[in-house]
Amino acid sequence: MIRCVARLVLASFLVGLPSAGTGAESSSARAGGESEPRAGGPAAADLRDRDVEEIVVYGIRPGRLAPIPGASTDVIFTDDYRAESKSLADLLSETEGVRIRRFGGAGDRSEVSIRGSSPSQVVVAIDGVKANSVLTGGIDLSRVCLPLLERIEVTRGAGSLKLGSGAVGGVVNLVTRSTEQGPETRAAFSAGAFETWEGSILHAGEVGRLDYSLGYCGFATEGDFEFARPTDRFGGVDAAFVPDSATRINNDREQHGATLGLGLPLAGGELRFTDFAVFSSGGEPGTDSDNTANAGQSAEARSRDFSNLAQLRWEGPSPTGWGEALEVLAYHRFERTSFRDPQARFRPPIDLRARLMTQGLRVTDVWSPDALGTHHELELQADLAHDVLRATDQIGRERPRAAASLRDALRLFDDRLVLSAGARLDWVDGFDPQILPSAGLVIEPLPWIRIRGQAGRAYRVPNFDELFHPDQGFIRGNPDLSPEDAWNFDLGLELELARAGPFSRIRLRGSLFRREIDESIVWVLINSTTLAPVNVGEATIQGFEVSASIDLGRYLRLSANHTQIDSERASSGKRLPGQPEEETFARLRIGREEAWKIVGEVHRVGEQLVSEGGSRILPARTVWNASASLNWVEIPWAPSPDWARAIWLYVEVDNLTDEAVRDSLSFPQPGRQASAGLEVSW
Amino acid sequence: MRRLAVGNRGRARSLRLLGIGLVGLLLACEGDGSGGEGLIIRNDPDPGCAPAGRDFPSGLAVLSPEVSRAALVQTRPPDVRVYGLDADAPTLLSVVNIGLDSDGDGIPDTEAIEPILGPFRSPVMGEIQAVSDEIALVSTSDYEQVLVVDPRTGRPVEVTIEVPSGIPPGRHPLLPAPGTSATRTGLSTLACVSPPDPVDSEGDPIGVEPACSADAPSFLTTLTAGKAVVGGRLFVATSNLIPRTSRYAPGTVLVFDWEEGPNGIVVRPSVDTPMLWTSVFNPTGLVAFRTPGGRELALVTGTGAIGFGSGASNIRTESAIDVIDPSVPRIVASIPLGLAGPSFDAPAVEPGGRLAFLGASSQRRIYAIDLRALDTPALHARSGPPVVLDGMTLGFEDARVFTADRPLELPRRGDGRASGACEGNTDVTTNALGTQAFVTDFCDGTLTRLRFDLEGSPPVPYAPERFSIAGQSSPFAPNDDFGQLSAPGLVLARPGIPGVDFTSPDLLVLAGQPNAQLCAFRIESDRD
Repeated sequence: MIRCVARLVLASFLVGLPSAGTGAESSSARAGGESEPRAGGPAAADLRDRDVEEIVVYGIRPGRLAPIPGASTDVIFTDDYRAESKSLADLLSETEGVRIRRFGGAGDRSEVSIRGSSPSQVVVAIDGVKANSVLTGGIDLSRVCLPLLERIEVTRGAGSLKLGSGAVGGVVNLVTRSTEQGPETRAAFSAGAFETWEGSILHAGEVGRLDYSLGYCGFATEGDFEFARPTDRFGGVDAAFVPDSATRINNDREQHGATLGLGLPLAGGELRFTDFAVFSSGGEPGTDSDNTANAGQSAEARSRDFSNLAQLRWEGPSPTGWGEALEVLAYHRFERTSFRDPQARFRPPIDLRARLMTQGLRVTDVWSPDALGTHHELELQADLAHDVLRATDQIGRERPRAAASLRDALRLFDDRLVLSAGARLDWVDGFDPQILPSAGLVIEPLPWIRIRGQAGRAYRVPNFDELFHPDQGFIRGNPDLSPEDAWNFDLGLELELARAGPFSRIRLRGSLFRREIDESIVWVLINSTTLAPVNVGEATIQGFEVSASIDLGRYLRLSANHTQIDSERASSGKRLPGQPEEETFARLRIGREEAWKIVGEVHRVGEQLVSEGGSRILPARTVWNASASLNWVEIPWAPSPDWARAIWLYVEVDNLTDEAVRDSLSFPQPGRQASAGLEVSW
Repeated sequence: MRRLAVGNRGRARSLRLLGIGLVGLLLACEGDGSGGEGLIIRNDPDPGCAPAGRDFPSGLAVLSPEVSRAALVQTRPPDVRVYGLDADAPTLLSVVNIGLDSDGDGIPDTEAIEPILGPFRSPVMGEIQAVSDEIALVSTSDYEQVLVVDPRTGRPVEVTIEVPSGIPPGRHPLLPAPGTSATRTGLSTLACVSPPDPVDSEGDPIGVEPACSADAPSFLTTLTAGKAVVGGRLFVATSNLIPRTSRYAPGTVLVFDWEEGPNGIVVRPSVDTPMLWTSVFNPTGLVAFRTPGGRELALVTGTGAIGFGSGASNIRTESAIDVIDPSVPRIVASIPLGLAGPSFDAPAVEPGGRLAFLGASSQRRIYAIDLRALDTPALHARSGPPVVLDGMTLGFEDARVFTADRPLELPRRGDGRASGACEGNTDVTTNALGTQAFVTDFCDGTLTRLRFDLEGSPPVPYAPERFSIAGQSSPFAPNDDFGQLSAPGLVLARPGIPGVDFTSPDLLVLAGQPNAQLCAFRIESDRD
């Protein structure tokens, strides 16, 4: 009750201004779509209404990854979802081929997989630098604050050429905000269910020749949601926990994120420094596993982590004259984690602390020679990196790695045909060097149709945990592991029409994909009491993705996508777990994007096997979301400060029908939840 | 700043109120996931099997052919599941959760245990033993107790617990006070004990448990394990793993008087002999049987201290089978097995009471003891420490058939898919005729048939030549063959003569990976 009253007070403040009406059209608003496909071939017709400022660009904008010819990619602009209560996990989950597995609500762990991969088989990069933990191989998406990001680049089934080990499923590149959009300040605040509060402030500007961007994001939640517990059913007989529902305890979380970007022209190019830091602290309730009132959750386990990724990048014309664009990047990634559980059941209290560091250097040179009557785009890249682990429960570990890659793209017939081929020689200490070839093809017979194909080899070196987890009796690492090895194949068709009758910005895409993977690393019970990772046999993952997006006038946009995945372990013929066979997402936006919008979404996830070869199946679910947003500045008769570019007010309700949702059998997610917020930019 | 026109102010005010109400209504909606059809987990078991829950079930008891049911114990959620055995695959008939107050004392278990052991404790389900078709006993740990259930339905059964006034106060913190009685569905096995030899399995001294004593080495019993009702008494083994360590305190068998009458069951902690101290650490399985000479005895497996892992290196201390004479009660004999690490389940006694088999917790082998050695009258007429039946004690026979030094090794899986890193974990049962034993191996996923000949009156112990491997099948995958039904554990042959007393499958096996399943096999049972 107190919680509800507090929200009513906040709600009153938020809407204590005159209510909505129709507003005049705002100036130079971007009418962008929710996501922009980039096939990596010739530049597609730019369907976005945009006042284009002339910017001298050398190579690719800092932080972004060059499109891979032939690969299936998406670019998600976070501003397209402004004034909606979205997280990074939300935006990715609404993208075809991408699956998000959540282990709770806001602030709880969430992981990404692409086309049926495991989370450690997806490289998550921040401004082009790999951010996956070298200890666990994965990354917790809940640690990344969405307001600090400008765009999210998703590459499916490719990315090894650029980023090496780990891109078996693909790459998700998170690009932080910069001054590219011009000087701006924006602030946001929201409040939501389960005492969740979030705020951010971002400022980008210029001082003389120096451009800078600063961002801060804070988050706090009690996370004490009620949840329904699972019921096993067979032959009409149910087996359920007592009680059949419980409340999440010890699930509070406090998180602070910050970014800093500095840019300065130097030596004919640009020197840029970026820093991305996150601090997170909170409870770890664990699984719901018991008959007790707290459902067997841990009341005292806590975790705390801090991570920082600093990058110093110079980009400009090659001073040696060899090549046309040179990028030199040095980076340092630091992570400190701790986990304590003084009341661990059946084992001594747990107090683990670890420090992880990675230093790296990358040099990329691009040039565009004409040879043999054709125009080439050559990219040569060299990487050096060094990973270090220091932990309280094991001896220190270090692992150097190095790589070199070369890619050539041929553009023929006025860029209607692009052929690309390349290879990366990748070495990680303790493993044999690997050659990772890839090839791509893009055919654009007409401006509105594109056919693409891509094939390439990918691999993943075992992470420190898999190799060296201390032998604690019931769990241990396996230093004899071999890297995972995979081949990805992808074929796609894309249609883009600016207008057809009353419809505009019509986008239709379809992709067929197949991955053949061997030596997958999975944790198995190697004897009756001990869990350890082993390499298992071959598996195949294949399927298709379709997506469509269409506008009707200025006030209606409909987008939808569907992913179908079929997987099989060769030795057993069984389906791989954790991936639904089908997943569908649809979104309807009504309203003039710069002034107001009402959004409805539906997300259907098919049945999922709980464990590989297992006999227990999580049910299919359909989740509905709705939101309403209003830009106060666009209301002509409403008083608003002259200095404000936009003042957005919004309210959102997720999981309208209060479905019981789980991606993992032992980790509940909240039911229906509402939030309201305010975003101001000036 | 633009000014609001007068004509719009009234409209704005009413819309504002509407907005407040709407937002307030929305923000007050915190769901609990109760919408929709609920989180129903569908089960799709393998042929010949029935789903048995999430993890490795902790126990299985099979009832007589007249009842044709089996009761299985699962840990998450904690419940007793009853299966019909008339079909080719077990049929799940009912599931009964033990609830928040499993022992029926009127206090939720977590609240009852908190003053003694701290917060967040709840019963962790263990083994189940059928005393009869109507009564079965289920061990639970963390909240140490023996639950009494009806194995035909899974429902709890009330018993009367009388605590004699001669029981020292505080010995049984969760039983009724001395001199009182109560009706319960669970018998607390949490007891304060003071070992005569206060040394743990690593050789270090046992400390003082403040809840039990001010100055004497003492501890509270933990890990309630096997139990048996014999000779008017209930015996309950407690392994006594020292909390949050891998060490064991001296093992105990708690002794209760067990009385079944027209008014139900009455259980009383024994005043004269409240507990027996086992000869080795970590008592686990317990079984009652009748010797060929008609003597009622009980066997308790002393597994010894073992670690996490596999192979001989996983076994830390000696193991033995202790023999309890319930008429005294007293441990009258101990049969040493060496560094054997026998399985945690009760010894499998062949129907004639002549021989008992044991599986191995860390290796691919089985052990056996000759029970005829227990019919020696002198064994039961004496007092003092247990007689060691290793052939070295004058006047007593050597009861050892297969031990750590001379085990009965089982063959590896023969199709080239033998398990890699797992060196064996076996369970064994015997058929109703006393001619065959069936052995599962957790690691290789095999089912081995062992033929044995106990006919005649050969000298004690039976010679190893009387035992032979009759065959081996591979109904399960090796434990590291990811994604397939594997990790067979407990195996039980149905009581009765296959093909005569029943024609449905005669052998039940609990498989633990990737999800728990109860599987049925026809070995000696004919189809209709």
